[in-house]
Amino acid sequence: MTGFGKSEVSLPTKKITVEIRSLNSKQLDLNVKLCGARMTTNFPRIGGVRNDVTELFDRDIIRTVDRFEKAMWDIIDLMDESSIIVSRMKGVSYLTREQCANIGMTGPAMRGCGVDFDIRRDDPYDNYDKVDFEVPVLTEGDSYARYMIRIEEMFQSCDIIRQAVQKIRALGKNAPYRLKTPTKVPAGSAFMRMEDPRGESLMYLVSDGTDKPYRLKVRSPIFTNVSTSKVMCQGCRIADVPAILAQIDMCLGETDR
Amino acid sequence: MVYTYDSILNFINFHTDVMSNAYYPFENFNLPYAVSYGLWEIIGGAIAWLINLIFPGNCVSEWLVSDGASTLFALIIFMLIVFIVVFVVTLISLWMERKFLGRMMDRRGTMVGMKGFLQCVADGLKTFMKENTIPGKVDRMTYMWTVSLVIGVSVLVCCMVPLSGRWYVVDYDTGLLIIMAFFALAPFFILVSGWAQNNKYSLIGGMRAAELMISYEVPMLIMIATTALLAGSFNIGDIVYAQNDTVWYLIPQIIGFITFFFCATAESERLPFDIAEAEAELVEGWQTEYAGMKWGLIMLADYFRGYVACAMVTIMYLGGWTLPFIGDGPIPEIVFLLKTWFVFFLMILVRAALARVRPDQILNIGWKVFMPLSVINLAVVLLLKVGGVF
Repeated sequence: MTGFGKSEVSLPTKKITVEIRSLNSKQLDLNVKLCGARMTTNFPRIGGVRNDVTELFDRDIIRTVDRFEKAMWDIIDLMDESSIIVSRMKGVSYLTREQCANIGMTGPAMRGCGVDFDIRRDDPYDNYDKVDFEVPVLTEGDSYARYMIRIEEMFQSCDIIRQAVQKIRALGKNAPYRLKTPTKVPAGSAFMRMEDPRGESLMYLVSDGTDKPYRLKVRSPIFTNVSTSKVMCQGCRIADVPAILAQIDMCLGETDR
Repeated sequence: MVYTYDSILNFINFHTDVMSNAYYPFENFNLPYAVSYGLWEIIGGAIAWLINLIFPGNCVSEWLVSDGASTLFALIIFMLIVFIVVFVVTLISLWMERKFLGRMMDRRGTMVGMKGFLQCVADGLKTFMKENTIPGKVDRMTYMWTVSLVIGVSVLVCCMVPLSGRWYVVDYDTGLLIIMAFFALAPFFILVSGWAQNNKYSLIGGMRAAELMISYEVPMLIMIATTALLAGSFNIGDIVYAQNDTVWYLIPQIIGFITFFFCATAESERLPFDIAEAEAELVEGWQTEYAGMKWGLIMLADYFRGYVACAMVTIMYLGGWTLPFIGDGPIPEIVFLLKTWFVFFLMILVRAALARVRPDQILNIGWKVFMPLSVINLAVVLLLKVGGVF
């Protein structure tokens, strides 16, 4: 849900940026209703979440998702009819499947090059096996394909959210929002990978039997995706660089966790 | 001995006819010159009278109100008046752009101070008061001279555009060509200043600006020649009055209007053609290393050039300062300015709606689309001329 509304193509179209930011603000308002903060929510806890959902929150979610889908169709029309934007992305920075796998790119950029892999479907965690969704894959491998994948994933996310809201409604009013967890864990190590909006992120935890972790490593997907930019930009013009790098959606603060 | 003081009316002669001066520099009546002549008569007369009070009968007072000196000082005030008017007009177009661009993006634009106009003035003041840093390794002389030349030439072109039959600086027989020539000097200076900044992104920005402007000048010149062909002369007054006699050249030259409009947008380096100053790609392009007042003046020079481009479109296609059936209205300057601002509004619409085009695609469009279109326009006009319609 946090992937909502972030502009994934940073071509200089100020109007579209403004529209996307206004969509984002509706989702941030939902965050405020739930936990009081717009972006730094601090909502997940070990064993569940911090507090129960508020009154009529499911109705608000469904409304926001509906509004988002309608606005997304407008934005898609705007981008696709503008031949300037499309011609700047089509045929730019073509990558083959093998190249993609060799340089270690993950996420929507990888699926735009033809690699059909999504951790939520192939190695499910967190109840992803209980919701129905499709994984969009395109084989063209250029900038435009990677952009279309992100758009498709936004619509699939809307589907997932609707199914999740139905399941939460089916749980009933008094379902627990946080389970009791032990403070002392036995010694050992655990490894977990997740499908971020940007790719595959890993967590590795080593415990020595006390209540403080011995080692925790978090690796964000941008860490490898940033180094793929070297291969992606080869053979392209300087003017193509924003169109290419925006596909990776790099946030350099996240690179260096 | 009774001393009689000269009355001030000895020195201030309220001439009703400014053209009776032996040194009158123009051929026809020139409104800003008449205003400045009147101003000098009052101010110069007052100064002459004051000096005469201290030194009665001196020759400086006589000289100050004589024909030759009056013309000189009136010309200086005339330059100031023309520049101030052009400056205010450009500030108004800057304000228009901020407001309309804001509304098109679903926000209100500038709001402070007289519906937001004074904010542009405040922004200019803020920019001018910033520290004037010069990076260490730039080529100093070129760095400073080229920016002055870019700004100076832009202001010069702006002041040379006549606002009406009685508001002109020079009435050249080759007026349109001279304006185009000065307009086309800028890419040279931009290239050299991008090079002088010792910064690879500025160099790229400068080269992109030069290549863009050079490519788009060819269709523009062909269309200027077409209009002169239709009107029979390059003189701006002749072109405007020829349109008044027949029909606005928008109608026979509709292809030319559209092509010239986009070429003018490209020449003023506005979106979708602003590759020289592409914020997301090269940080400010060729203006990267300019700070403070220099950058503020460059920004203004951009808007001066935008105004000149719109003024050229108005003169060549929209009938200049004449109204359709009335001819010269009571205040032709306002008519001209309203038409220019309307064309500028169209440019703002284009800016709000489109994304930036890639440089090689821009050159493609310039050479492969606009130049053939301008030649087609020329062919249409030739047929009309030969067929006797115009």
